Amino acid sequence: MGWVQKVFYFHVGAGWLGMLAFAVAMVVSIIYLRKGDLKMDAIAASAAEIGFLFSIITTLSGMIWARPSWNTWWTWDPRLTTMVIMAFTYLAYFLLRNGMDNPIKRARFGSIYLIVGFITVPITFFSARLLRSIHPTVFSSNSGEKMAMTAPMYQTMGFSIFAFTILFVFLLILRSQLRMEEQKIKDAEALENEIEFGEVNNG
Amino acid sequence: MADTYNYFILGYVVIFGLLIAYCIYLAFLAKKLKRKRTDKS
Repeated sequence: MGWVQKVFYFHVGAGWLGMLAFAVAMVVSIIYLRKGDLKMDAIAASAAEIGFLFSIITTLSGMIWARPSWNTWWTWDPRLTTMVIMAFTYLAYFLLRNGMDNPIKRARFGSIYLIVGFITVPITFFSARLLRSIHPTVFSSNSGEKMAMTAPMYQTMGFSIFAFTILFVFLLILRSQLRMEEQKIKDAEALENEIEFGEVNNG
Repeated sequence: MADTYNYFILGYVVIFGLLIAYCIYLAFLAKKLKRKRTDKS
């Protein structure tokens, strides 16, 4: 494989982070539906945003790795296809959110969407294992489809997954805080407009 | 060993490019929100 093999560690780490982020978004969405706290909606939306970013990184780094390995940038392999469907599912979530002004309605619909949309994550994960796929797997009981990896490769991959998890926690905290701040400012502006509009109406 | 150095460079540019672009977006967003908060107070 040569030098391009080093992309693998970031490809797997980004793939793991994308799926972890969507799982977190789903769990936080369930908590939102139970408690109705808008902070949970901000965390869920932030997790989905980070998950989308890392899904794109996974797809692009996979394409770059595929070119020298498979002699093509893209093929409609089950893993690649389900990965793109998963990324577009989360892109559609943001289109849905942006189309709603009411924060409560937006949070409720968004949470339901994230819970239902999570189905794309296990489908993507198991697609290379259950369907006929040329995409190799790292963790598999079937040695025929498993990647040949040495102990240092496993160690590096483990460290990469750990580092990406830390990065996710950091980005999630930062993005959630910014999203909550954004919401506070929007609410304050809406209140100001309401007061102004009320004063105009009252003469 | 196959010569895949160009793909390695391209891969790292894409990965780190997107990550850095997202961090810059967050930094600008934080700055914008700080300015708005200051304007309101």
